[in-house]
Amino acid sequence: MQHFNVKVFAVQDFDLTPYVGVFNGWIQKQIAPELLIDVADYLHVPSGPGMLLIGHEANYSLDQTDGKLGLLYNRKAVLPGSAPENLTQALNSALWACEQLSQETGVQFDKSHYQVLVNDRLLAPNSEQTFQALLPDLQAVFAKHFGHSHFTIAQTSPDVRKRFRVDVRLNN
Amino acid sequence: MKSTNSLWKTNLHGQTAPDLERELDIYETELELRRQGKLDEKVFAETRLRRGAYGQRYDNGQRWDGEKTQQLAFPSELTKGPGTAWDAPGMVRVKIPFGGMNAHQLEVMAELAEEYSDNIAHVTTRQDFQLHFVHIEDTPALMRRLAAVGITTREACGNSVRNVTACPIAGVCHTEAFDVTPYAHGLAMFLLGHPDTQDFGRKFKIAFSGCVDKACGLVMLHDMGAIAKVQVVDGEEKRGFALYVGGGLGSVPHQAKLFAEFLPEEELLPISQAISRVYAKLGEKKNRNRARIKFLIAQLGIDEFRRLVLEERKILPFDPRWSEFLHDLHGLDEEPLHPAGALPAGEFPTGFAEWHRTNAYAQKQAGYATVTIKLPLGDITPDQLRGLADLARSYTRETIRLTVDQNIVLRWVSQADLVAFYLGLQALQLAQAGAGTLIDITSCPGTDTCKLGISASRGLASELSQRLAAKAHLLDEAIQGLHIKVSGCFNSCGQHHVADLGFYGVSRRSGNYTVPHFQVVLGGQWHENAGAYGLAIVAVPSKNIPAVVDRLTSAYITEREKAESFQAYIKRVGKAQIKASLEDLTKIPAHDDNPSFYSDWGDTREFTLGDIGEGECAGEVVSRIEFDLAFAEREAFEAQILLEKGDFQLAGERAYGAMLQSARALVREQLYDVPSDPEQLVNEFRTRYYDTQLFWDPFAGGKFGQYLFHAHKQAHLPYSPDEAHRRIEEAQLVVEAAHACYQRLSKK
Ligand code: SF4
Repeated sequence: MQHFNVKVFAVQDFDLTPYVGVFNGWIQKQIAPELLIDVADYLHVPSGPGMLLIGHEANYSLDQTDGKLGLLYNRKAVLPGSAPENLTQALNSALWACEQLSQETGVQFDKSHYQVLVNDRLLAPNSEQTFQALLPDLQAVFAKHFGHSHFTIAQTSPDVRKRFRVDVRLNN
Repeated sequence: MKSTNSLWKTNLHGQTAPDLERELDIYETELELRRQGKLDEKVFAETRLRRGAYGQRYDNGQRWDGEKTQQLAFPSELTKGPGTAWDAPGMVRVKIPFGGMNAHQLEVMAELAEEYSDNIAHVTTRQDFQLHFVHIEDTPALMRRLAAVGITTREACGNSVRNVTACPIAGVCHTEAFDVTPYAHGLAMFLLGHPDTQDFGRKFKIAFSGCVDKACGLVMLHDMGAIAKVQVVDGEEKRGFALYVGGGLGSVPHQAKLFAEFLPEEELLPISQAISRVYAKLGEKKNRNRARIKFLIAQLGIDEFRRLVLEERKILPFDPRWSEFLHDLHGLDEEPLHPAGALPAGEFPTGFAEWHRTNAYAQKQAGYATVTIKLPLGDITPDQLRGLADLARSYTRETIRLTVDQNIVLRWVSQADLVAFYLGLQALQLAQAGAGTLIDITSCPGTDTCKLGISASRGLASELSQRLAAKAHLLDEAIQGLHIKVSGCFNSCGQHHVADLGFYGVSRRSGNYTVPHFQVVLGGQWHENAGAYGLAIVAVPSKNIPAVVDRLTSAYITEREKAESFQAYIKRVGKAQIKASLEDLTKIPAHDDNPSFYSDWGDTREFTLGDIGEGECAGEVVSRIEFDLAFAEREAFEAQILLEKGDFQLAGERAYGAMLQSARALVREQLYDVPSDPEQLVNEFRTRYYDTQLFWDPFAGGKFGQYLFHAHKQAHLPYSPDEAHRRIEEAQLVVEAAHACYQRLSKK
C-alpha cells in the first residue's frame, strides 16, 4: 500500500497566517528528509487545505478540512516498504512535523487522535472491504505507536466518492 | 509519482471515446520517449502544452528563499522542456467548452484535485479548471480519468485554439438574440485538433456572446469573437453573428475589429477555418511577442485581412461538418428538474436576502433562477465540488457552468427552491453574497504559481476581498457594482484592462532593494463585451493598493454627478488629477521604517524578481515540420512496442504510417493542403522530393525514398514477423532521412 496521509489534530485552533513564514524557513534550511519546494496559501478557502508546504516526495500542511485544524502529511512518492512500514513512515513524518512546529511556535497537537487516509482510489476505494483489508495493519502500527491496544479505528464516511479515511482515537 | 498510473488505461478501457483514448496513448508514448531521451525537449514541451500540461513557477529548479536563490535538488536530471526540470511540479489546464459541466464531471475534478494536486480546483478567467503542483508522470492517468467523463485537456495551452468561452447565462438570458451554446460547442469541437489550427505562432482565443450590451462574453478582447444576431433575410428571420477578430489583452491590448456585420450561421465554421488558415500561413512565427493574430490584422489592415480570408474561403475543400451541427441545435438544450415557482413568503434565513439580491439571476423562463456560487479567488475544495454535485442533482438537471469571473453558476433552480438551495450552499460554505460586485475580485495566479509573475496578484486580491467583504454592508450602492481585476504582470491574464479598478504587477527600485508594486489601471469597461480598455496611470507599492481602492471609491462616492458611471467620472475628473490625488501613496518608506513594503502580499520573503522564469504561455514556437517529424518518430517507436507484443500486422502498418508521416511533413513544406490519400501523398513526395533529389542522401542516394515507395506498394499485403521487423528498420531510416533533408533545406 502506498500514498498514506496522516493528520494529527491541533489541540486548539490557531492563526495560520504566520505559517507562510515558518514553512518558508523550512525550505530555507531544507530541514525535512523530503525536498521542500514551495508554500501554497489557501487560507481564503473555508475548511480547505490551509497552508501547504509543497515537497517533491510529500507535502506537509496545516490542513483545515472539515473545519478541523491539524498537521497533515501527504506522501506522494512511492516507497519500497510494506503497508505497515509505509504507514509508519507517514505517521512518523507527521509527528516529526508536529514536533518541529511545537518547538518553533509553541502550538500543541493532540497525540490521541489521528486520521489516516490513502490518497489513491484505485489502491484503496472507500469501502468496507478496504477497511477490513487494512485494519490489521492499522491496528498493528497504532498499537506499536501507543504502546497498547486501547484505541478505536473507524471509517469517517461511507461516501464511496471520498477517499478511504479512518479516525484513530485513544479510548477514554 | 502515483503507483497506480499505469493501471488507469486498462481500468478505463471502453469508457473513453476511441479518439480520445488514442490521443492519450500517443501522449503517453511521447512521455516515455522523452523519459528515454529519444524526443527533443523542445518538441516534448510543445507536445505537453498542447495537452494542457503547463509549467509552473520554480520549474527551472531555482527559488529565492528570502536569503539566497536555492537550487532545488530534484532527483532526476531530465527536463520536460528547455530549462524545465522533469520533477518540478506543473499545472494542468482543463478545457471546459463554454464552461458547461455535469455533476459527475465535478466529482471527477474533486478526485483529481485530491489525488494529483493540492486539494484545490481552480476556476480560471476563461472557463477552464486548473490543477496545480501536478507531477508530469501523473498527467496521462489524470487525463484518462477526465477523458472517461468526456473532458479533454487537448489544446488547453500551447500555440493552439484555446477554450471556446461563452456567456454563462446563454439560453436563460433576457437580452440574448438566441442561445449561443450549440454554436460555441460546435465550433470548439470542429477546431479541436483540426489540421488547419496546428501551425499557429501563438494561442488563439474565441468567445461567444448572446448580445452586444452586456459583458458576459467579453468578445472584444478575443482573437475571434461572435455576437449573436438575428436578421431578416428575404422576409425570414435568420440567425447569424457579428464577427470580430484581432482583439486581445496582453501587454499591448487591441480592441477587436469588425470582420462581418452579419455572418450567417452556416458560415461560422468555414469562415473560422479560413481565418485559421490565413493566420497559420501569414502570422508571425519567430517573434512570439508579435505573433498573436491582432498583430497580423494590424499589419494588413482589416480590409485586406478580410479579403484574404474570403479568398481562402473560396478554395476551402468542402466539409460536411460545417453544417451538420446545425441540424442538432437543440441537442444541448436544458430542462428544469422542478416546476417553476415563486420565492415563498415569510422569514428568510440570515444572509439570504443579500445573497438573493446579488447571486440569483431571474431567468427569462419565469419561475427559475441562475444562481452564482461565488468562489474565493476561483478556488474550490473537493468536498465542496462533491457537495455542489449533490445540489446540482437535487435541484437541477446538472446544469452547471463555470464563469469568466472565476465563479460557478447553477441554472434552472426553481425560485421555490431558492431558500433550501441557499441553505445547502451555506452548509458547504459556498453561500457568500456579492457575486459580480466590488468584493468579487478576479485575479490571475501571479507569483503564486505563474513563471512570469512579478507581483502577488492573488495575495492582493485576497487582501482586498477580505477588507471589502468585512465592510460590504457599509459600501455605498454606487460602488457595489464596480469590478476589480488583478494581474501579476502586464500580460493581463487577470483582465485588468477591462476592470473599473485594474491592477497589474510591476516593481521599482528603492536603494538596494526591489519593491513590489502594482500599476493602477483606470478607464476600462466591462460592459458592452469589454468595450473599452483602461490605461495605467501610476505605479503604487503593493502594500498601498488597499488605500488606493479606498481613496478612489470614496472620491467617486462623494464627487460623482448624478448617476455618473465610474468611467464617466474618471474621464470628467481627468487622470492627471486622479494621479495627483494618489501621489502620497507612491512613496516607499525606508526599509528600516517599514520592512513590510519590501515583501509582497501573503509572502514573508524579501521581494525579488529573480524567480521570474521563461514563460510557456505560448510555448516554444516549434515549427510544424518538427512537430510532424516527431509524430513520425513516435509512430516508428509505437511500431516497435507492437512488435514486442507480437502484433506484427499492426506493427508493420504503424511503421508504414511513420514513413507516410515523414513524407507528409516534407510535402507540407511546399504544399499547404497536403493530400491525406496515401497514393496522392506518395506521388507528391516523389515529384517534389525524390525526382528533384532533394530527399537524396549524400551517400546512400535515393535508397530511403525507395523504402517508402516499396512499403507503399506492399501496403495491402499482410506482414510476417520478419517483414514487420524490416519495415520498422526502414521506417526509422526514412524518418532520419526526412530530418536530414529538412536540416539540409533549412541551411540553404
Ligand atoms: S498576467 Fe502575468 S502573472 Fe498573471 S498569469 Fe498572466 S503571465 Fe502570469
